[in-house]
Formats: sequence, C-alpha cells, structure tokens
Amino acid sequence: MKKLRHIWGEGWSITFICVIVGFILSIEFKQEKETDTLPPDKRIEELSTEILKVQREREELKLQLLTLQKEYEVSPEELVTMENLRMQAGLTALEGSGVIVRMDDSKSDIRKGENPNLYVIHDEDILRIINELRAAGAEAISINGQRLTATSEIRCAGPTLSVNNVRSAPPFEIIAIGDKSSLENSIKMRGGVEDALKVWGIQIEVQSVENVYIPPYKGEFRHQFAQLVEEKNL
Amino acid sequence: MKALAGLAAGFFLGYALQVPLDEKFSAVIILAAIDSICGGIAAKLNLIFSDKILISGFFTNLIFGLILILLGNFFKIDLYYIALLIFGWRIFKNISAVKKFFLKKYAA
Repeated sequence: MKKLRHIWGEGWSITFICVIVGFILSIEFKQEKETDTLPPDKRIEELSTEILKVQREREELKLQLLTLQKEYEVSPEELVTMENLRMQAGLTALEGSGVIVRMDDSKSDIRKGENPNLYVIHDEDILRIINELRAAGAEAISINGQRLTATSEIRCAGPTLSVNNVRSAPPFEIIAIGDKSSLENSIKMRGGVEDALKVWGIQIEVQSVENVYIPPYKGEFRHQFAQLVEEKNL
Repeated sequence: MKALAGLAAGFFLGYALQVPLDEKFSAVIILAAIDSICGGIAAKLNLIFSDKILISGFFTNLIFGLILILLGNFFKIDLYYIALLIFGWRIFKNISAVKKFFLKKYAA
C-alpha cells in the first residue's frame, strides 16, 4: 500500500473539483426534492384552490363578524331568513335526493363530410338539460362540482366548458337536488333532451340517487354597477 | 480525505445558496468534474499528474461544453449531448486505465 501513497496525497485541484461536484449535487438534490413535493402543473391548481378556500373563509368570517356584531339586534327569525337567503344564493353545501346526469362526447364514428362539432357537447346542450331540470323543480344544481348560482355562466371555452369561470372538460356530471322521479323523467321524456342529443351519439346517463351532495359556490359576488334602492311602482 | 471534505463543503455551499440551475448545465458541469477527477486519478497512478493540466483541462472542457449548450439553446438543437457523450466516454476510459493499473499491480 505504501506505493499507492501518491493517490492519497492528492493535489488541490481534485479537492477543488470535488467542491464543484458537491455543489452541483446539492443543487440537483434540492431541485429534485422540490419538484417531488410540487409538480409545476399541479402547483397552479393547488394555489388557485387555496385562494378560493381563503376567499371563502374570509367571506365566512365577515359573515360571522356581522352576526356577532348584530347578535343583540338580530332576532332568531332574521337569522333563519339569512340562512335561507344564503341557501338560495348557493353559499351553503346542500344534500338531498336527486339525480346525477353524466354526459360525454359522442363515441360514434363521424361520417365523412359531417361536421364533427355536432358530436361534441356544447353549452347549449348543457343549458337545455339545466333548463329541463329547473323546470322539473330542481332546487340546487352543480356542474362538475361548480354550483350554479343566479349569475353563473355556462359557456363553451374552446373544447372545455366554463362554469363560474372555472373550466372543465367532458365527461360532465350534472347533479341536481329535487324530486328524483320528476327530474329523471324531465330528461328521459320521449322527444326530450336525451332523445335529441342521442341522435348525435352523445352519451347521457341519468341516475336517481337517494342522497346527493352539492358543494357551495366558492367564488365571490360582485355588485359593481347594481345599487340597492327602494322598490318602485312603475 | 481532502477530496471528501471538499465534496461535503460543496454540498453545504450548494444547499445554503439557492442557485436555480438548468439541468443541462448541471449535467455538463457534473460530468466534466467527474471526468477530471477520474482523469486525475488515472494520471496519479501513472505518475504524470499535474494540478495545472487538470484544472486547465477541466475549465476548457467545461467552457466548451457550456458553449455547446448555449449554441444548442440558440438553434433549438440538443448539442450538449455530444459533451455528455464525450465526457462519459472519457470517464469510462479513465476508469479502465485505473483498473488496468491495479490489474497489473496485483494480478500479474
């Protein structure tokens, strides 16, 4: 081993290069760890849901503040009406019997020369279903987890559907609370929406469920232009 | 031992300083460094080691590798693969030189 001594007494250059190796290794190690915990694509999603959650929390805290401030002024009946108003505005999660409507784009082959647009779900199709459900007495409706409020839009956004400014892609899951059988019949009615859409091979599946859950509206209400006034007799 | 200490020092330094580094650059730098270390060991065994040669070799290789990356980024071609390929090839060549040395020493 004595003859190998010249290896162990290495020059300063190898030490220097080892410093560089360690440096790069640690950087890579760190980056690896960071990407492991937060994949960049997911990060945006996570952050946006985080924002929504915090916004909602803030709204809730505001409301709590309001109720606490008026604790001695607000009668229990008024609190009940307030809860009712919140329920109607879609700010509360709801549960009850209802239907789940699942829709997906057409799987049938598109014949030559035909417009492929006819075979995908459009905002109109969803709107027709929502309209039917509402006509059949749906009390609360959500599309892919987005609660429909009085100001919710349902709109094609490229190949995706935008509801409450949140985009989602097919398959769509529309959940409605209401009388199960009338909701189901409103969609399955002969010559109704289902029949009309099935012509294009769009897949619709209606399922009545004893207990469905509808999440609350998680966005904000903006009243930039509207102002409260006394009721007028016109 | 100095080398291990250097490795640890570099590790902590890199951990403390948050340097965002593109993986192309780290790949080229790390392979150039490993290439130099392997070359250094092989040279030591053959008693032709020199600090000057090792450091100058490291930096010329590194600089040319980085030029290849920048050029590749400019033309949108992955030219840096050639640097990785040559570094890898040299690393294995030097390892085999080290192996040959020990084989001669102990097996013959």
